[in-house]
Amino acid sequence: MSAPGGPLPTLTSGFTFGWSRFGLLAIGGAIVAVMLAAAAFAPVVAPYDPYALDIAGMLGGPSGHHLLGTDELGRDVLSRTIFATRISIEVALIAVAIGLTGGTLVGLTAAYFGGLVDMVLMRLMEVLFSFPAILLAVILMASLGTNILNAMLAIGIIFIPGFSRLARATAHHVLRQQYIDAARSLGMGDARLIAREILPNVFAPLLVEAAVAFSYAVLLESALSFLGLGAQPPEPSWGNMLNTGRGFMEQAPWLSIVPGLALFLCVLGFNLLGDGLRDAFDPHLKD
Amino acid sequence: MVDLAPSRGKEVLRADGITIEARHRRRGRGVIARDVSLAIHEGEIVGLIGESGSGKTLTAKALLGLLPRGVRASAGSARLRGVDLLSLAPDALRRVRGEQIALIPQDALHALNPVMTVGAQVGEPFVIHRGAKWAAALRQAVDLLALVQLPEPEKRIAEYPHQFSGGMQQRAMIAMGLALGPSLIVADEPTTALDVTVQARILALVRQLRDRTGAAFLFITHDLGIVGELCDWVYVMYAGQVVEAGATRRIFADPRHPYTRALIAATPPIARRADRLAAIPGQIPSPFEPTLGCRFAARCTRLFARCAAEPPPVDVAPGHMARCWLAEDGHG
Repeated sequence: MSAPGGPLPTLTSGFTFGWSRFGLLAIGGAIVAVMLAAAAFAPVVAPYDPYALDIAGMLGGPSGHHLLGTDELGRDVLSRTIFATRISIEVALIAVAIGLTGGTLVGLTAAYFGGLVDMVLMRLMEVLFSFPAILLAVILMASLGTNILNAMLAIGIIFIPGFSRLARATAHHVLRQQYIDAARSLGMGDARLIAREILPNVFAPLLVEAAVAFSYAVLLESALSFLGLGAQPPEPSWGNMLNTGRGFMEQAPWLSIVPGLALFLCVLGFNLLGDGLRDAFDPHLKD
Repeated sequence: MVDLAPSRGKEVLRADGITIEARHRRRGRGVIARDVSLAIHEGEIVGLIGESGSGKTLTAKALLGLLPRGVRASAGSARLRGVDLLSLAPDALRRVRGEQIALIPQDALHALNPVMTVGAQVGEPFVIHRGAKWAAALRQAVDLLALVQLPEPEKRIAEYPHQFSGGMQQRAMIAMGLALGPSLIVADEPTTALDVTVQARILALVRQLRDRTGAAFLFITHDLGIVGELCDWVYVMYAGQVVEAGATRRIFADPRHPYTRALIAATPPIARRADRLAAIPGQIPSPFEPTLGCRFAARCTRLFARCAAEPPPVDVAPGHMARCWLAEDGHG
């Protein structure tokens, strides 16, 4: 879709809205930007090697040397938390991409062709939807094997029904619009109709959903890692750090507080960003 | 009988006996249009008038192959320059649309894709049908927007539909319809959503474009005023049937069908203030209600026994037809 007039307006294309909304978008954007930067530049930003052991300095509290203390093996908590951002962002990014692509494909197919295709696809989605997310993830991980790639896949599959419902509902609405008839009356074929008329018009709500799903993916990855199904030690992840911290709650509370806080900020950031995007992508608020 | 028909050019569209049926889950089969025949010649603006539910819009959609799910043209033909649109395969029909026949829809705002610039939409037919590059298509869009008298077209092509006023949106839709120089342009109440002054300008534009391009227009409306002002020929539809047709001047001067008469009488006079607006009592019959005799019988003021029992004959005089038992003697 390299056509002029592109499918979606960019964030900077001159819209005005209330300061409070802009403020939330800015805060969310800033948190997300910091998280992304931390993930991308982890080796540069982190003061220590996240795997470097220091048995003598284990369970040390926050100090000048170790700003956020050390864990039970003497590893720098700040460095481990920064490196864990990497895992979280990576898993969330790929999981959301799987969910968004799969869900959009299923939803658009169901809406466009209707009838039996619609029925079969959506009943299948309902079956997936009826499992609690964590349970489904555990089942998938159990059958696929425990590693971080399968965690991405499992979380992605969990997202497919949600995205497919949203894509289908939005596409239904779009298909009833007069511009679809107008496009057909100009001789547009199915493929072009879906790519140029339907997809760009269902994309905005899907993107908002993606931002929200992103925060959910971060939470799910942490939950899986906490249960030992996601990132495997010694690889740092907020989830397995929390699990370790659980055993030292009284002696070394920073072991739980630091990754917990990181998780909280990440989820908050993506939620604020999602809300902000919803407003920004509404074409009626532009101009 | 004097032939009041203006001299007509080459035939563009000949629709013969189009019948449109709908399937409804509970109410069964309904006939939305019954035996509709139309002829449109080069350079003509032909009006198709009727109230809501008369089947005029679906008749037009049948020509474009855009009937909604559950509705189909079950009989008849519609030859556009000799090619029957109703029996074309989907792919062949797709090539005809935009190239030979185009639609100007009722509500321009909703007929424009909100997330694409106007320029991209007006230029797109060249990409679809002629394999043009986007840069070339955009240049064509500028020319087309200039043709429909949109100010500053070079600047406007980069804007989105919601940045346009209602009149400008409708101009953009007209430009899109004209893009590839189709033989027939179906305009589905293109001015209904506009205020009166804008409406007048759009109608003037349609007339100018007809004169410049020689394209034929099928103009669907429920406004008799527009028909009188714009159309060379008019087809009056009621409950799925063409009840009267002929040259516009003639229909206004000598309406033969009671429904046409009632429509003309229901147009409020401009010169003096009417105490009460004239209306036609009753409702248009549902397509799911079968009728034995005349479809208009229930609302007709000149009803007699035969009307309800037998369908009225089609009275054909040169350049004028009416579907009424009384049409022949001019007392319809």
